[in-house]
Order: sequence, then C-alpha cells, then structure tokens
Amino acid sequence: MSSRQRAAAFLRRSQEPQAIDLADTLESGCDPIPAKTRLAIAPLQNRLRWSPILAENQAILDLLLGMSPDYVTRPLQIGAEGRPAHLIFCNSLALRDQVIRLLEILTGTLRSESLPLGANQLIQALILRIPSTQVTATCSLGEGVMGILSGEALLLVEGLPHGMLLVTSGWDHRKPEEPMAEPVVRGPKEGYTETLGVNLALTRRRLKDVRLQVEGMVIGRRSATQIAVVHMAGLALPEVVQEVRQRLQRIEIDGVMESGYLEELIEDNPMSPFPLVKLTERPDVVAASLLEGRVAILTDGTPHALLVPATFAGELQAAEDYYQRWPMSSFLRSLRYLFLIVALLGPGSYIAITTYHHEMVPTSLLLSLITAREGVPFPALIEALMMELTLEALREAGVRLPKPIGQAISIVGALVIGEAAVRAGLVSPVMVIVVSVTAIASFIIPTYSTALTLRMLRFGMMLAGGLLGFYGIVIALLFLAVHLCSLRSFGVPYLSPITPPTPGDLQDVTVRLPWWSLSRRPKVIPVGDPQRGSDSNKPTPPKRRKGG
Amino acid sequence: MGRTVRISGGLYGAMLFAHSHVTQFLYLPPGLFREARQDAWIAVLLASVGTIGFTLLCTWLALQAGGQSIFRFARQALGKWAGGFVAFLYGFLFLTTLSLVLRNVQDFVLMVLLPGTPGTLIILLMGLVALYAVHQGIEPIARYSFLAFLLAVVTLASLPLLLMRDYSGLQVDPLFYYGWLPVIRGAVSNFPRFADTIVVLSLVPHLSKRVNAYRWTLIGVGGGHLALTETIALMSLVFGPVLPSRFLYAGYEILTIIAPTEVVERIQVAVVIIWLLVAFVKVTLCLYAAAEGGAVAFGLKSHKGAAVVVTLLAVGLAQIWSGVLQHLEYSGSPPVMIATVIAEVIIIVMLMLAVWRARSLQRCAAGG
Repeated sequence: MSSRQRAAAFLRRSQEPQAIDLADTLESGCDPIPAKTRLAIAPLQNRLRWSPILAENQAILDLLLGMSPDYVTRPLQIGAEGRPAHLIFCNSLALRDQVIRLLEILTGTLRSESLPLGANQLIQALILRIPSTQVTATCSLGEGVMGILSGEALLLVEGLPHGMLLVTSGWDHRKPEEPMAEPVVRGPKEGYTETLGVNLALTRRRLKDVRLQVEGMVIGRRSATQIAVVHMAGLALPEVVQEVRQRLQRIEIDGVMESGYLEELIEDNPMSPFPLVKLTERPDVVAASLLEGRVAILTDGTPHALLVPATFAGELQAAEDYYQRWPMSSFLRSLRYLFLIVALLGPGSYIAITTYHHEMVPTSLLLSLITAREGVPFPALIEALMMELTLEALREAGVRLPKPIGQAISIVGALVIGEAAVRAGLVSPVMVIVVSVTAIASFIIPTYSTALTLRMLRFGMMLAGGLLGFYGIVIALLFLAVHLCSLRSFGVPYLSPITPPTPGDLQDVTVRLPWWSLSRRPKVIPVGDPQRGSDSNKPTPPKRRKGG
Repeated sequence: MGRTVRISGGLYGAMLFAHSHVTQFLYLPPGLFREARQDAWIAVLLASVGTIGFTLLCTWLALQAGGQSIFRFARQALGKWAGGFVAFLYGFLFLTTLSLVLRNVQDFVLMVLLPGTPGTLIILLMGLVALYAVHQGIEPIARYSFLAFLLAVVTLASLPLLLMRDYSGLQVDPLFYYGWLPVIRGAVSNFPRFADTIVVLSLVPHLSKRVNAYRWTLIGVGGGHLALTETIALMSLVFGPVLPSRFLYAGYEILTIIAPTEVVERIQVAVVIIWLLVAFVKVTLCLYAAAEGGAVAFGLKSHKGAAVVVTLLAVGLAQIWSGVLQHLEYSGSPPVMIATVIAEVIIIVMLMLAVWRARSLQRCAAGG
C-alpha cells in the first residue's frame, strides 16, 4: 500500500464529504501529489480525527508537512510489547535537549515496561511516565499539526486514535532589556521581549495575585499568533473585558506580525491620527495599568503590549513619574504639557507672527527678526517647511541607519546643514532656533506614537499659520479640539478626566499628587473596586519630645 | 445625533455659560450703556432675572417631551403643519442668530487679525468647523464647551486684577442717578438677545437622567449673566458710561488696554484668539438648534443634512447683515425687537399647547 493510498484511507475514515472527494482524487492521481490537493486538505484538518493506524497518520502528516526539511519523524518502539510509535517534531523549533531526553525515556525506560492496550489506559500511562511539563492527548489532526508547528513533539502510537503532544518548544530568545523607547533613570530596567511566555512571566512577577486573569487566543489564519488578554478580575469591568474579547475575536486576518496589526483592528476611530490604544514595552507600566482596571493585550512575537482604555492624559505620563518624588514628577508633567503646545504650535505661531501679526511683538524684537530674515529669499512658511522636512528626514535616517552611523548622521547632518543653510542665506538663524526648540519639545512627549502624531499635525499648523495667520491656527485648533472631544477609547472619553471633567482624577494629570493621597483608582476607567489603598497612608512620624 | 447622547450637568452648565456670555459682552455694551448709562451693569442683573425665568420655563417645556426632541414631540401632538411651523420658527430664529454671530466673527477678524481677506472665506471656515462639530454630535460640543468655559473663567477671573490700576469708583457713583426707568429700558431693550437661551429646548433632551435640569440651567445661565455683569461693571469703572456707548466693540476695547508685560507689546491678537475659541460654542449651538428646527420642520430624520444647508444659508445671510450695527438696530428699533419677542413667544405658547394637547390625548386614551 502506497503512502498516497494510506492518506486516502485516512481521509475516507473521517466520512466528511469533502475529505472523501479528496481521497478519490488522491487515489486516482499519480505522483507527485499536486500542491492543489495538499492545499485542499489544510482547511479540513481541524475536522479530521487521528486514525488508530499509525501508517495512515504518518501518511497524512507527510502529505501536509513532508516538504519541509526541518520536519522530522523518529520511528521507535515503546513498551515491552514493542508497539510501533512515531515521535514527530520540527527540528528548528523543538528544543534538542528536550527531544533527546524524551527519546531516552521512550526508548529506554518505557521499552522495558508493559503498557496497557486500551486507548484511555494507554494515554494515562503515557501521561504518568513521560517527563514533559505538559502532555496533552488530542484527537484532532489540526491540533497535532499546530502543535508540531509551535515547537511541540507529537507522539503517535499504533492502535491509539489520539496524538500525544509533548512540550518541547523553546527556542532562543532575547533577554529582557531596558526598552529603548521608554528609558528611565529611576525604575526597573527590564522590558518585554518577543516571547509571549517571557512577557507573561514578567507581568506575573509584579502581580502575584490569583485575580490576575490571562486569556489565551489565537489570531491569524496562517500565522496562528498567540495573544494573551490580561486583566485583574474584580478591577477591570467585565463589560470592558468582554468588549476587548469581542473585538479581538472579530478579527479575520492571515497573519499578525506585530501588535500594531491588532491596534488598528480594535481601535474605536480608525481614521484618527491619535493613538486610541496605549503602547508600552514596560511590564511595570502594564502591571500598574492592570491595577487601574485596564486590560492588556500581549502578542507573541513583539515586545509591545497594548493597553485599553487609553486617554490623552495617559499618553503624557511616563513610568518614572510614579517613581520620582511627587513635586519633581508634577513639575516634569507640567513641563510636558507646556512643551506639547510648543511642539504643536511653535513653528506655526512663528510663521503667523512674522507674516501677519507684527504688532504682537515689541518693536526692538521685531527689528531683530526683520534683520535676521533680511536676505532670506523665501517666505517664512517655505523656510519653516524646508527646515522641518529636513529635520524629519534626518530623524528618520537616524532611526533607519545602523546605530553608530545613524547618530553620526543625525548630529553632523543637523549641525552642518543648519549652519550651511544660515551661511548660504537660505534660512534665518531665528528659524533654526525655532525648529530646534520645537524638535526638543517633541522629544519630551513620552509616548512615541503621540510624539509622531504631533510631528505630523505640526505641519498642518504651519500651513494654517502661513495661510491665515492666527485665525488659521485657531480654525485648525478648533478642528483638532472637536476631533479630540469626539474620541473614545473602549467607551472612555479620550480627553477625560479633563473633559468631561472628573475632579477626583485631576490629582494625576498635569500634577501627580503624593502616593498617600492617591488612595482611589482613577474614576474615568470604571472599576469594580475603587479603593487602591488606605486613606490613612500619610506618613505620621512620632512628635518630637520636649528637650529632644 | 443618531443615538440619544447623555451629557452631564457640568457640561450642560458650561455650554449655557459660554452661550450666555461670550458673544453678548462684545456687542451688547453700546446699546446697554446708551440706555442705562452708568447703571448698565444693574440692567444686566435685572435682565438676568427675566432671562433665568424664561429659560427655566423653556427647560420645563423641554422636559415634557420625555427625552425626545420637543419639536418632534410638538409635531406629533399638533400635527405636521402646526408642529412644523413652530420648528421652522425656532430654526429661523437661530439661523438669524448664527448669521449675526458669524458676521461679528467676520468683522472682528477682518478688523484685528486679517485685514483685506475675503470675509466669506473667514466665516465659511468657521462654519465648516462648526458643521464638523454638529456632525460629531452634542457630546463633543459639550466637552469642547467645558474647555472653552475654563478659558473664559480664567480670563474673567484675571480681568479685575489686570485692570486694577484703571478703576475709578466715581465712574459709577451715584447709583440710579437717572432713576430706575433707564435701567429697566436697558434691560428690556436687550431682552431679545438675552432670550436666545431658548437654545435649552435643544439641549435638555440630551441631559443625563440623573441631572437636575433646573439647577444646572440656573447655574449655567446665572453664571453667564454674572460674568456679563462683571464685564459691564468693569467697563463702567474703567471707561465710565459715555465711551462704551460710542465704542463699536467696548468689550474688546477694555481688554486691549491691558499691558501685561513688555514682551507682548499689544494683546489684541491674544484677545481675539480667546474670544474666537469661546465664541465657537455659540456658533455650534446656534447651528445645532437651527439644524434641529429645520430638520423637524421639513420632516427629516437626522439633522446632519439640514446642518449643511443652515451653514451655507448663515454664511450667505452674514453678508447681508452689518454686524454689530445690526445689533444696535435690534436693541434700538422696536419693530425688530418686537418681531423677535413675538417669535419667541409664539414658540413657547405653541409648545405649551403641544404639551397640553399631548396630555389631553393621553387622558382620553387612559379613560378608554
């Protein structure tokens, strides 16, 4: 009996009409089996059950995976009776040491023991004897194939209509390092990695509570990317968790390569330039957010976790705000809000003042500005656009090039081009100052995606200021404000707690009050248990005694 | 627009505050000072009593519709023609108000910010942003109003301090020098403009059910009028009664005399920016109300389409008005004033009739 006929027999056993048609095609065709036939089996695999005949199982697996060079079938005999069995795994994914250890047990210890004949008893016996962290019996071909492709080893035994999935997965992964985009001076220096298991461990390390709930999900028809929805039961509102679950389950996509895919597929307003889902690489930020009733979405293959609901105020908060002393944190936060305005309106306002509203500035300053601009052949708008675009190009080049070259290009480019442009009389020195201050201001925004949004909107403001002066800026600001006011993230208004106002939450927006006064969780995110800590946390050292 | 959005009492109050104060302080002073002279601020207080009573009556009417638009309710109770007429009148009232506010925006921007720019372009841009806001629904408008409210409160709170060196108590002394009559005349002649708080008819249905509509109406309108009183009183204290009655924009003039620092030589531009940011609330609310009236009058399900037509009509009408001079004419010309009052009275009476009729029908239905 050829492999083709065995595979056909496997398909016929399922009694699925489509599988029987495929079995006919297989039997009537000739070698090699056309790719079309292989492809037709793939969608059926979850409906197909393992056969008790080992050769049939092997034939169908060979049909599905046989072309891959890293697909390995290790024939062996188990039990004193010498029952034929196959250990199947993907050489590139399974841990070599783990596989060898399994083989030692299967061909050594188990070879000398008598194994029961009945399917259930055999499964129980194998579960008890095989040294793997997890042994799962599966009757579905699809689950078996998915296991092999995820790095697990599949044990098929003659006469057993089940496959035994043995955990052997674990390839080399990056160690947790400080996230490049969210560095801190004071605070933990570890960040998420590309491995979901590691990321879950980093989160659990910070929240040793049985109420930390992790729900697994697989998204991507072809990538089968593992997703973990993490929340604190009793804190996160069940409605919010359910909404997250529903939005994720609704996704039908071939592959998820990064959490950015999910972000765009679950956000409330897909046309908005503002990030409606908070992004972080820091496990401490995720843990703190979970304690505030948010829901985290961790994606295998990326260090970026998604946090929902998100607010605009949250985008301006850095992890370190909660680790430094509160007056410093409050000062830095206020500075961030101030420079947010500079980053958005800096060049636009300069263009508006120099083009339309000279009366705003004192005469002496105006004269300085005019002198500085003397000889510049372009209007302020073109001058600013040229400088800003060059700066953006330098910044982008700095990111894309290898690190040492990138930094050199950014610094040398900025210095040389700026200096040369002023000397050549193409731009005024004041414009160089304005653009530089704006660039520094945009670096103060702690969230990269929000900083990117502001960088983009700045060009709109420049155009508005150049075309209609401050009236243009007002119109653009009104448009932006109405848009921001209309945004929601998983039911939570994006501008809350500023508008709609939530007075209790303003203690952690532009300022961060001391921890002993933050005894309640933010109200903007509805939570099951509003109390975060005791109301009497304020330190009260003993009073000094007389004479002391 | 589609779904009934619920807004909190605070946001509702902020909307009413901005609506009652920000545009009024700019173009009411000349008429007020002409009538009530140094007691203009008392005239505002007096007018506020009437305005609050009138607005509370409107709030009561809006609450009778059981969460739906009072004009749709009136259309059901009074029939297509009568109900449509009252909605049309309401829409037209706000169309004229919107066009007047836009005209003021145009004049002001042309005068201070962009002389020589086509006026239509200026108000068309403002109209388009307002249209975008109305399309987003009442919730974003309410949230934006709170931001504008904060801006207005900070400005108003700092005004007495910034103008401290320019006060003179003699400018308002003695009170009631010309008697009560000019004060009453000042209050009454400007009542039609104060009474555009009739906009609550469009806002109350969107209030959260837990909110006490009367309390927040009182806070919003009362707060707006108190702020207006403060501004008018400051004008009296700084300029006396004669100058503001001759200034075209006395409210603007009082802000421009502030010289906060040496860095910013003249703050006119900053004043106009703040005014525009707050006046936007009035523009959107007028557009919202006019679109609602128009949609109900013509039997449209949503007022998004009507809002587009209203915006274009308002921009067109704004080119016919003569801005603040028109307001002066309004307050000084009895026929125009009477026409406005009559329109508002007709709306209120017909809505009361609709409520009475709906109740009668309900009683009949209950009686079998």
